Amino acid sequence: MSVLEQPQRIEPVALVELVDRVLNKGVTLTGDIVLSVADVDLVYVGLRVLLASVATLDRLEEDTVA
Amino acid sequence: MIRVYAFTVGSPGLPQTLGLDGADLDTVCFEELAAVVSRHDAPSTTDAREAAAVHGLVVESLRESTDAVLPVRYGETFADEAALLDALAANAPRLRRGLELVAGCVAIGVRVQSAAQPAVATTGTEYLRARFDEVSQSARLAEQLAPIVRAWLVSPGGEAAFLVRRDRATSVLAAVDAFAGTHPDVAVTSTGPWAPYSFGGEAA
Repeated sequence: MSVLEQPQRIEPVALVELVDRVLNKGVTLTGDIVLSVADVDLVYVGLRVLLASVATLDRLEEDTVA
Repeated sequence: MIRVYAFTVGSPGLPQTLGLDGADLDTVCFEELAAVVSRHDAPSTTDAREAAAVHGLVVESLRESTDAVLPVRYGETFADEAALLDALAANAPRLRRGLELVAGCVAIGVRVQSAAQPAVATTGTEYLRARFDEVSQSARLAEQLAPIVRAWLVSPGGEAAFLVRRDRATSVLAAVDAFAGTHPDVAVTSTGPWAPYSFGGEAA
Protein backbone atom coordinates (compact mmCIF):
# COMPACT_ATOMS: atom_id res chain seq x y z
CA MET A 1 0.00 0.00 0.00
CA SER A 2 1.30 3.42 -0.93
CA VAL A 3 2.17 5.80 1.88
CA LEU A 4 -0.21 8.23 0.26
CA GLU A 5 -3.08 5.76 0.88
CA GLN A 6 -2.29 4.94 4.48
CA PRO A 7 -4.88 5.65 7.17
CA GLN A 8 -2.73 8.51 8.52
CA ARG A 9 -3.13 10.27 5.16
CA ILE A 10 -2.57 13.99 5.13
CA GLU A 11 -3.99 16.68 2.91
CA PRO A 12 -2.38 16.95 -0.57
CA VAL A 13 -1.23 20.53 -0.01
CA ALA A 14 0.39 19.60 3.30
CA LEU A 15 2.03 16.63 1.60
CA VAL A 16 3.55 18.89 -1.06
CA GLU A 17 4.83 21.22 1.67
CA LEU A 18 6.23 18.26 3.60
CA VAL A 19 8.06 16.85 0.56
CA ASP A 20 9.40 20.32 -0.26
CA ARG A 21 10.90 20.58 3.22
CA VAL A 22 12.35 17.10 3.16
CA LEU A 23 14.03 17.69 -0.21
CA ASN A 24 15.29 21.23 0.35
CA LYS A 25 15.90 21.64 4.07
CA GLY A 26 17.28 19.78 7.01
CA VAL A 27 20.69 18.90 8.34
CA THR A 28 23.27 17.29 6.08
CA LEU A 29 26.47 15.67 7.30
CA THR A 30 28.08 14.74 4.05
CA GLY A 31 27.72 17.99 2.10
CA ASP A 32 25.74 18.29 -1.09
CA ILE A 33 23.45 15.36 -1.77
CA VAL A 34 22.77 14.12 -5.26
CA LEU A 35 19.26 12.80 -5.87
CA SER A 36 18.34 11.18 -9.14
CA VAL A 37 14.81 11.73 -10.39
CA ALA A 38 13.84 10.24 -13.74
CA ASP A 39 17.53 9.65 -14.52
CA VAL A 40 18.35 13.34 -14.02
CA ASP A 41 20.81 14.10 -11.23
CA LEU A 42 19.66 16.97 -9.05
CA VAL A 43 22.37 18.45 -6.86
CA TYR A 44 21.28 20.24 -3.72
CA VAL A 45 22.98 23.57 -3.35
CA GLY A 46 23.95 25.02 -0.03
CA LEU A 47 24.10 28.28 1.82
CA ARG A 48 26.58 29.83 -0.63
CA VAL A 49 23.80 30.42 -3.15
CA LEU A 50 21.56 31.99 -0.54
CA LEU A 51 24.31 34.41 0.43
CA ALA A 52 25.00 35.30 -3.18
CA SER A 53 21.31 35.99 -3.75
CA VAL A 54 21.06 38.28 -0.73
CA ALA A 55 24.12 40.19 -1.94
CA THR A 56 22.46 40.62 -5.31
CA LEU A 57 19.29 41.90 -3.65
CA ASP A 58 21.32 44.32 -1.55
CA ARG A 59 22.91 45.75 -4.69
CA LEU A 60 19.46 46.03 -6.26
CA GLU A 61 18.20 47.99 -3.27
CA GLU A 62 21.19 50.34 -3.45
CA ASP A 63 20.57 50.90 -7.15
CA THR A 64 16.93 51.68 -6.42
CA VAL A 65 17.79 54.20 -3.70
CA ALA A 66 20.46 55.84 -5.87
CA MET B 1 23.17 0.84 4.13
CA ILE B 2 21.91 3.15 6.87
CA ARG B 3 19.36 5.88 6.13
CA VAL B 4 19.18 8.79 8.58
CA TYR B 5 15.92 10.65 9.32
CA ALA B 6 16.70 12.95 12.24
CA PHE B 7 18.89 13.65 15.24
CA THR B 8 17.74 13.89 18.80
CA VAL B 9 19.20 13.48 22.27
CA GLY B 10 19.16 10.74 24.87
CA SER B 11 17.08 7.61 24.29
CA PRO B 12 14.06 8.79 22.32
CA GLY B 13 10.90 6.74 22.30
CA LEU B 14 10.63 5.76 18.65
CA PRO B 15 7.24 6.25 16.98
CA GLN B 16 5.32 3.31 15.53
CA THR B 17 5.90 4.75 12.06
CA LEU B 18 7.96 2.57 9.73
CA GLY B 19 10.89 3.84 7.72
CA LEU B 20 11.46 3.62 3.98
CA ASP B 21 10.47 0.27 2.43
CA GLY B 22 8.77 -0.70 5.70
CA ALA B 23 12.05 -0.92 7.62
CA ASP B 24 11.98 -0.62 11.41
CA LEU B 25 13.35 2.53 12.98
CA ASP B 26 16.39 2.30 15.22
CA THR B 27 18.90 4.64 16.82
CA VAL B 28 22.68 4.98 16.47
CA CYS B 29 24.14 6.90 19.40
CA PHE B 30 27.29 8.97 19.81
CA GLU B 31 27.62 10.22 23.38
CA GLU B 32 24.25 11.90 24.10
CA LEU B 33 23.40 12.36 20.41
CA ALA B 34 21.02 9.87 18.79
CA ALA B 35 20.52 9.42 15.06
CA VAL B 36 17.15 7.93 14.12
CA VAL B 37 17.83 5.49 11.29
CA SER B 38 16.62 2.51 9.32
CA ARG B 39 18.85 -0.23 7.94
CA HIS B 40 18.62 -1.54 4.38
CA ASP B 41 20.29 -4.42 2.54
CA ALA B 42 19.56 -3.05 -0.94
CA PRO B 43 18.87 0.29 -2.63
CA SER B 44 15.26 1.39 -2.38
CA THR B 45 12.96 0.86 -5.32
CA THR B 46 10.30 3.18 -3.93
CA ASP B 47 9.28 6.16 -6.06
CA ALA B 48 11.39 9.18 -5.04
CA ARG B 49 8.41 11.40 -4.16
CA GLU B 50 6.82 8.70 -2.04
CA ALA B 51 10.16 7.93 -0.37
CA ALA B 52 10.53 11.63 0.51
CA ALA B 53 7.02 11.60 1.97
CA VAL B 54 7.88 8.56 4.13
CA HIS B 55 11.01 10.37 5.35
CA GLY B 56 8.92 13.41 6.24
CA LEU B 57 6.26 11.38 8.05
CA VAL B 58 8.94 9.74 10.21
CA VAL B 59 10.34 13.18 11.10
CA GLU B 60 6.89 14.59 11.90
CA SER B 61 6.11 11.56 14.08
CA LEU B 62 9.33 12.24 15.99
CA ARG B 63 8.31 15.89 16.38
CA GLU B 64 5.15 14.74 18.12
CA SER B 65 6.91 12.31 20.45
CA THR B 66 10.24 13.99 21.17
CA ASP B 67 11.16 17.38 22.64
CA ALA B 68 14.18 18.17 20.45
CA VAL B 69 14.31 16.94 16.84
CA LEU B 70 16.73 18.07 14.17
CA PRO B 71 15.43 16.82 10.79
CA VAL B 72 17.91 15.40 8.29
CA ARG B 73 17.51 16.19 4.62
CA TYR B 74 16.15 13.32 2.53
CA GLY B 75 18.88 11.26 0.90
CA GLU B 76 21.43 11.17 3.72
CA THR B 77 22.77 7.62 3.79
CA PHE B 78 25.87 5.87 5.12
CA ALA B 79 27.49 2.62 4.10
CA ASP B 80 27.52 1.28 7.65
CA GLU B 81 27.32 2.25 11.32
CA ALA B 82 31.03 3.04 11.54
CA ALA B 83 30.72 5.64 8.77
CA LEU B 84 27.73 7.22 10.48
CA LEU B 85 29.55 7.33 13.83
CA ASP B 86 32.51 9.05 12.16
CA ALA B 87 30.19 11.69 10.72
CA LEU B 88 28.44 12.11 14.07
CA ALA B 89 31.75 12.64 15.84
CA ALA B 90 32.91 15.18 13.24
CA ASN B 91 29.63 17.14 13.43
CA ALA B 92 28.82 16.74 17.13
CA PRO B 93 29.34 20.41 18.16
CA ARG B 94 27.11 21.65 15.32
CA LEU B 95 24.40 19.08 16.11
CA ARG B 96 24.48 19.91 19.82
CA ARG B 97 24.04 23.62 19.04
CA GLY B 98 21.15 22.85 16.70
CA LEU B 99 19.40 20.54 19.17
CA GLU B 100 19.78 23.07 21.95
CA LEU B 101 18.25 25.75 19.74
CA VAL B 102 15.22 23.68 18.69
CA ALA B 103 14.48 22.04 22.06
CA GLY B 104 10.81 22.45 22.92
CA CYS B 105 10.11 24.20 19.62
CA VAL B 106 8.30 23.67 16.35
CA ALA B 107 8.56 25.61 13.10
CA ILE B 108 5.91 27.73 11.41
CA GLY B 109 6.33 28.41 7.70
CA VAL B 110 5.07 31.65 6.17
CA ARG B 111 5.08 32.45 2.47
CA VAL B 112 4.63 36.07 1.44
CA GLN B 113 3.82 36.85 -2.18
CA SER B 114 3.30 40.26 -3.68
CA ALA B 115 -0.30 40.56 -4.86
CA ALA B 116 0.65 43.23 -7.38
CA GLN B 117 3.61 41.54 -9.07
CA PRO B 118 3.24 40.65 -12.74
CA ALA B 119 2.34 37.04 -13.46
CA VAL B 120 5.52 36.62 -15.49
CA ALA B 121 8.66 38.69 -15.01
CA THR B 122 9.97 39.86 -18.37
CA THR B 123 13.48 40.70 -17.18
CA GLY B 124 15.85 39.41 -14.54
CA THR B 125 15.73 42.77 -12.77
CA GLU B 126 11.94 42.65 -12.62
CA TYR B 127 12.09 39.15 -11.20
CA LEU B 128 14.63 40.13 -8.55
CA ARG B 129 12.65 43.23 -7.66
CA ALA B 130 9.54 41.13 -7.03
CA ARG B 131 11.58 38.71 -4.88
CA PHE B 132 13.05 41.68 -3.00
CA ASP B 133 9.57 43.05 -2.23
CA GLU B 134 8.52 39.68 -0.85
CA VAL B 135 11.65 39.33 1.26
CA SER B 136 11.12 42.86 2.59
CA GLN B 137 7.56 42.07 3.65
CA SER B 138 8.69 38.81 5.25
CA ALA B 139 11.36 40.74 7.16
CA ARG B 140 8.70 43.18 8.42
CA LEU B 141 6.59 40.26 9.59
CA ALA B 142 9.63 38.75 11.30
CA GLU B 143 10.30 42.02 13.12
CA GLN B 144 6.74 42.00 14.45
CA LEU B 145 6.97 38.40 15.59
CA ALA B 146 10.47 38.69 17.06
CA PRO B 147 9.26 39.06 20.66
CA ILE B 148 7.37 35.75 20.57
CA VAL B 149 9.68 33.54 18.45
CA ARG B 150 13.03 32.00 19.31
CA ALA B 151 14.57 32.38 15.85
CA TRP B 152 13.58 33.09 12.28
CA LEU B 153 14.95 32.91 8.75
CA VAL B 154 13.80 34.54 5.52
CA SER B 155 14.76 32.83 2.29
CA PRO B 156 15.49 34.73 -0.94
CA GLY B 157 12.10 33.57 -2.21
CA GLY B 158 10.32 35.46 0.56
CA GLU B 159 9.40 32.37 2.57
CA ALA B 160 10.00 32.78 6.28
CA ALA B 161 10.48 30.07 8.87
CA PHE B 162 9.83 30.84 12.52
CA LEU B 163 11.09 28.70 15.38
CA VAL B 164 8.53 28.93 18.17
CA ARG B 165 7.90 27.27 21.49
CA ARG B 166 5.31 24.53 21.12
CA ASP B 167 2.84 26.31 23.40
CA ARG B 168 3.15 29.51 21.37
CA ALA B 169 2.49 28.04 17.92
CA THR B 170 -1.19 29.04 17.99
CA SER B 171 -0.31 32.60 19.04
CA VAL B 172 2.22 32.93 16.23
CA LEU B 173 -0.26 31.66 13.64
CA ALA B 174 -2.81 34.18 14.93
CA ALA B 175 -0.20 36.97 14.68
CA VAL B 176 0.54 35.96 11.08
CA ASP B 177 -3.19 36.14 10.29
CA ALA B 178 -3.33 39.60 11.86
CA PHE B 179 -0.36 40.71 9.71
CA ALA B 180 -2.13 39.43 6.62
CA GLY B 181 -5.24 41.39 7.57
CA THR B 182 -3.30 44.65 7.73
CA HIS B 183 -1.25 44.06 4.56
CA PRO B 184 -3.69 43.58 1.66
CA ASP B 185 -0.87 44.23 -0.83
CA VAL B 186 0.60 40.79 -0.16
CA ALA B 187 -0.79 37.26 -0.03
CA VAL B 188 0.30 35.57 3.19
CA THR B 189 0.11 31.80 3.65
CA SER B 190 1.13 30.04 6.85
CA THR B 191 1.75 26.33 7.40
CA GLY B 192 2.72 24.21 10.35
CA PRO B 193 3.59 23.37 12.95
CA TRP B 194 6.47 21.46 11.39
CA ALA B 195 9.62 19.87 12.68
CA PRO B 196 12.32 22.58 12.60
CA TYR B 197 13.83 21.81 9.19
CA SER B 198 15.48 25.21 8.75
CA PHE B 199 17.25 25.55 12.07
CA GLY B 200 20.02 23.01 12.10
CA GLY B 201 23.58 23.24 10.91
CA GLU B 202 24.82 26.58 9.66
CA ALA B 203 21.49 28.25 10.34
CA ALA B 204 21.79 27.50 14.05
